[in-house]
Amino acid sequence: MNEQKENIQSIEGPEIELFESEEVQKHPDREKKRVLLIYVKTVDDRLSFRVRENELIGKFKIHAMRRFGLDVSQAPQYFFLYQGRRLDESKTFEHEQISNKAELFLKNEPAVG
Amino acid sequence: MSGEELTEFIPKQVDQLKAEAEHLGISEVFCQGLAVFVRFRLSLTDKTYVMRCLYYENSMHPIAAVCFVNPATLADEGGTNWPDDRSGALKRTNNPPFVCIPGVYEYHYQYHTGAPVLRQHLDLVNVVSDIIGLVSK
Repeated sequence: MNEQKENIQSIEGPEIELFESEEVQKHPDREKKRVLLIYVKTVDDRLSFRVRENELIGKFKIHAMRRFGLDVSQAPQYFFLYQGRRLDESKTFEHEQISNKAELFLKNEPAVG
Repeated sequence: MSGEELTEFIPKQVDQLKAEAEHLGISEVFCQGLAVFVRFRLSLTDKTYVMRCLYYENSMHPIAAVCFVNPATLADEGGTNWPDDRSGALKRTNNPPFVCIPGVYEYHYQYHTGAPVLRQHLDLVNVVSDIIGLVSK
């Protein structure tokens, strides 16, 4: 039983609070979904997060912005860059094939001249 | 920044970019004189591009002019090797083409001369990831 639990959950970073949106908390397969350790970088900072793989990228972005102290009303101006691609906010980590210990860049749209 | 200062500044920027390369989808970063070449594959189109970031001696700030070059020969062939861009930042049809965002030489020294130069504009990882973000749109 314990082994099975370890298989579906990341054992790293247990001290980091798990972010779960209401939808994920209520999801019938919640316990079957892995918990990922995710690193997020901004220009100035880098933070670690724990998130379930069926979490929506868009929900997670808002949570991450709050943790970085960013103004969430500006959320449409921010996006995640991962391995040279923008992540689709309407998809989950699972759908976007984000692996455990992935490093995402939280970027804001530059002013275009 | 003098040429001597640039020869100290550029390798530091290159090292930082190499450290982040995997996370940005960059396959190669290398330096030739005052130019830094960044090879990356754009998932959106499954094409490979090479960005050349060229620093100029004696400019007030160490900000590179950015263009896209032939991935095989590294030659600057105008707008030929530039990715499509829906943001409007990549002025590929201009002569010469340029990237018009903060942190790029032409933006600060030709088209928006009063725009402030912030710390992140001198950070090559930030500028390169901005451009990759734009062309991934």
